[in-house]
Amino acid sequence: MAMSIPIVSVKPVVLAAPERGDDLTVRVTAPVSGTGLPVVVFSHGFGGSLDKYAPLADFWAANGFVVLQPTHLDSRTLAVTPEDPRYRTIWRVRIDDLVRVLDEIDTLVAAVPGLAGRVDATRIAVAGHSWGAQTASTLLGAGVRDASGTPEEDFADKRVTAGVLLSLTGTGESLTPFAAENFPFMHPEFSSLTTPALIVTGDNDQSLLSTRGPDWFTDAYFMSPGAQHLLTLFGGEHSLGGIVGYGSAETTDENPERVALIQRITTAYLRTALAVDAESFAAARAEMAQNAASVGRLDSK
Amino acid sequence: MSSSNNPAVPVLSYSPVVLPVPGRPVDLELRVTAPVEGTGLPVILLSHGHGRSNNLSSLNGYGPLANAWAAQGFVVIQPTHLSSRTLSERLADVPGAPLFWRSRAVDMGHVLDRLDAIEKTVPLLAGRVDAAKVAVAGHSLGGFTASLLVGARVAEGGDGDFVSLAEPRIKAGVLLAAPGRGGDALNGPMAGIVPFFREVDFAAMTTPALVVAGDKDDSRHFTDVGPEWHMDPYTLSTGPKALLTVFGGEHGLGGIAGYDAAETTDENPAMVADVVRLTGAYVRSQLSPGDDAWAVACEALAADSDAFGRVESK
Repeated sequence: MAMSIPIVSVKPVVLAAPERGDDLTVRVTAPVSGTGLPVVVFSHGFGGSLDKYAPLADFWAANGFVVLQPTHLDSRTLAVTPEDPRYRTIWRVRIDDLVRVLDEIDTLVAAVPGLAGRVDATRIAVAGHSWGAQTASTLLGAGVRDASGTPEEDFADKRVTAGVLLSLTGTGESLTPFAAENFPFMHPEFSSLTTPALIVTGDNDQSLLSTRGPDWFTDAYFMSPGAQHLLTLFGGEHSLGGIVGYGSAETTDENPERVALIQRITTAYLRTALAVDAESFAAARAEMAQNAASVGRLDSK
Repeated sequence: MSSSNNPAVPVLSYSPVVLPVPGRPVDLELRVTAPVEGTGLPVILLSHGHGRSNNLSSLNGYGPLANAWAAQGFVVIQPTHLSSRTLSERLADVPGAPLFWRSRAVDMGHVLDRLDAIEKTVPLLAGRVDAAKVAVAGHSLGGFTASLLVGARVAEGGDGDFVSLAEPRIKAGVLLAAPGRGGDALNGPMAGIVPFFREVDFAAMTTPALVVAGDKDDSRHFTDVGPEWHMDPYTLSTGPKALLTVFGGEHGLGGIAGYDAAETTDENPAMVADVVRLTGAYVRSQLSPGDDAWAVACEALAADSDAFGRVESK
């Protein structure tokens, strides 16, 4: 089912953002042919950048998606330190970054030769890994609360009609002291996550942020009305076989089969969720039951 | 040392350009990375190495080099050689496997034969490339490939019957952490997998080249010579040549093979930026006589008390 259209990628496309302190830079990756292309806005994990996640972005683009990857303020390429007044609000600026990307889709598309006029900006998904999954989840409706349980405003964005959330952290009551100190916003309210989403998790993802085991990363599936599907990678750790980058030092569970399965299932999900192909996800589920049963499992509700 | 690399210059990357090549067991696939703007762009052919990762030995590796050279105004063309780990299962029984030293060099000739078609395939690139200005660069095993293309000869059978794969359309070379002399020096436990390193005639390497070597790049698996082994392509060849010794550099030269790559033992983005800047200046000056970028960069390096490396020339 993989189409593998040649892809073109332009970076950095710079969106001026004076109030942010650093302009927002974005990598835009798209197939060189096709029209009515749906859009995926991807949010990187802690410390990442637009240069990461090529195994996902390139695959999605080769299968007909325009992928937009901003660099958030926590990127190691920017060096915003804990002493920086912006540091404590990065979780919120990350959300603003995704909204700004959505606001500026036309500008971003225009930066890629030959892409203008081939994009369907009414079909938009958000995706993200780790902290990026948390950021993306808010546009799907997940609530953010502080340590005292006080809810922040509603970040749901009606332009977004589907999500893929990879290694999404769970509820806040099991945070370790380290997580509670550094990530006080990690008290999600999943009941308001109503936009359809696929959750992807590794069943060996032992997080330093929670005293619970790998099942912490399945909370969104069990608690969110929108999270209808759960892809579990057997033996997968937080890096899910190597989605962060080719040959990345951050990958603790390098496994090309695992990455290939994530590529296929997320693509099939996005194609169905964004109404490109009504059959692709069902076909992928059937194929998975036959051929990939040793790599992972797909649950739906 | 400050860097003149400008990460804000937009670059465009296209992959794959697919070139069917008669007799090659799989199509030749390329990544092309170029600045969005500019004309008369010189070309760098980039040959990947054979590191241990699953994907970096392919057109999906070497982003830190390709993107930064493109931002400096080069069109960077990266093939996936037959030795790529992304192909190793499919090609295990093909003659030349697993390292395909000869095919690796021949790939670059195919790229140059089809430069017109490549230019027309990549959006907005047509008419912006100067096909008379071509350099080759390569890292590790790719450095060996580059050394052949700039004239080094190999006697594969150990019979003194030397083969030349020199490519006259290539005007300059950049050999990054490339292998050195064979003979008794090739005495490490892995020497058996690289019989074509055994007899190499670097004296025949007459095309101008810059050899880049880390002074901590001790490749014990091939030799007990020490980091100087990677300087052999400079030491044993005829001029004009230059040698950039990178202080503290190991085989990864700070991380040129990929972003945050696991195979990098000496992760250092500043070192990568310096290597990109110096190599880019070298290629620019070699391809455009009268361009003083290299002379200026060398002067600045020599005057810097905290320089990241040292340049020698002959």
